[in-house]
Amino acid sequence: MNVKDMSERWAKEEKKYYFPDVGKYEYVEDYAKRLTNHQKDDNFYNTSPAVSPNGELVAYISDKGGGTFGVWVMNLKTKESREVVSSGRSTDFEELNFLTPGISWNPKGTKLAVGGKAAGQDVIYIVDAVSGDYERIVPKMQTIGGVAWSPDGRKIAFDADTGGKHTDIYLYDVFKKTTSKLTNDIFTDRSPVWSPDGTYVYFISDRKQYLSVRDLPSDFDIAKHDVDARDIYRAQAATGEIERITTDPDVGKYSIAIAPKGNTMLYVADYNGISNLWKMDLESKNRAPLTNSLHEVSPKSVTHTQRSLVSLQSHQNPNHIATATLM
Amino acid sequence: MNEGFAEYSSAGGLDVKTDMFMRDVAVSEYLRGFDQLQGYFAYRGGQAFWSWVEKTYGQAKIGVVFNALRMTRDIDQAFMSAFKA
Repeated sequence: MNVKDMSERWAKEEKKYYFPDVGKYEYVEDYAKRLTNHQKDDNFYNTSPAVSPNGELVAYISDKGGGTFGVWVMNLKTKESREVVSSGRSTDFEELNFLTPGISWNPKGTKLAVGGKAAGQDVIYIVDAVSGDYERIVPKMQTIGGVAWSPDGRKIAFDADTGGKHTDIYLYDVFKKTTSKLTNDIFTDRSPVWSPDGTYVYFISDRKQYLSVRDLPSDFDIAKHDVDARDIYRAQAATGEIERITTDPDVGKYSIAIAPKGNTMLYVADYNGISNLWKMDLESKNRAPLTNSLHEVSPKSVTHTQRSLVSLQSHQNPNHIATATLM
Repeated sequence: MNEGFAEYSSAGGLDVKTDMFMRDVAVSEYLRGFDQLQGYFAYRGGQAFWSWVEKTYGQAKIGVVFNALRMTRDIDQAFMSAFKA
């Protein structure tokens, strides 16, 4: 069998293997409302959707503005989008972190926090959602991942790494303009989100049972630790005390959202081999699937309205954004 | 395919992310074959191909392919030698 024959056989076998899944799972369009259309807009990336606090707007990162990445805002009623700010056109707004994206609205819904790059280091841009004017927060980090604005508007939680090691969760005080560490150990902590009352910061970590440096055995070797472990934890914003929420580290977990009342956590996990949206009652720890998706999805935010609106990013070929009222 | 072999080796086969990627490509009727193994697809598709070879023929077959490639220095000849009919 030459290369051409093998190529055809492999493609056929892959289709035979995956096509039965079409009958078992749902397309994203079957349970959510599609908002972006890469074919119509002739672009590729639509990512990191964040619903505004009043549920009227969705901010997202897209390359539909002539090939450069920008922050866009869509009106959910009219479906009209406009680019708020574009990257790559000035030296102090070089690039958006579209591979590890995160956009977070301030509680008033007037500004957006978004990770980016400027002058060789990662920064957080605070962008005015109407004018596009921006300021930079430069915490002197090599990489910055997820960002999350606290419900009282005073702090921004973000995951960052000072230089090729592991990420910790940091808190930036918007008014004092100071940065402090919420987690501070050898484990990789990422994707912070706040509880609606601002008491906790939830995050994903590979730390397994080690909630504190005091828990580490004297002969602990990070080189032998399972760094692919993924569980959800929460740290008290005031004290940094960590509590473990999920206890299935072999199941991939990718993003978190906390429902407005604070008693339900939404998260993406691949219990069945596909990243689906799950909900967990934070008291009983009972969990249930909210989607049965054929394609990988990520929830990025939940609105603070009575009916929770979840913005989903579908990784269907290529990415697009949808919203779903799922709770 | 080299990039895919590196992915296959480091992940120890097919991982969840590549499985989801290939499901999307397959059910979207986008999958044609090796000619697509460029750019990002070279990593995901190549990993899926070598995982499929392992599942279909056994892991040792991968060594047979690379050994044949080393001897023939021709990908077509190597495949014909390794995957006889």
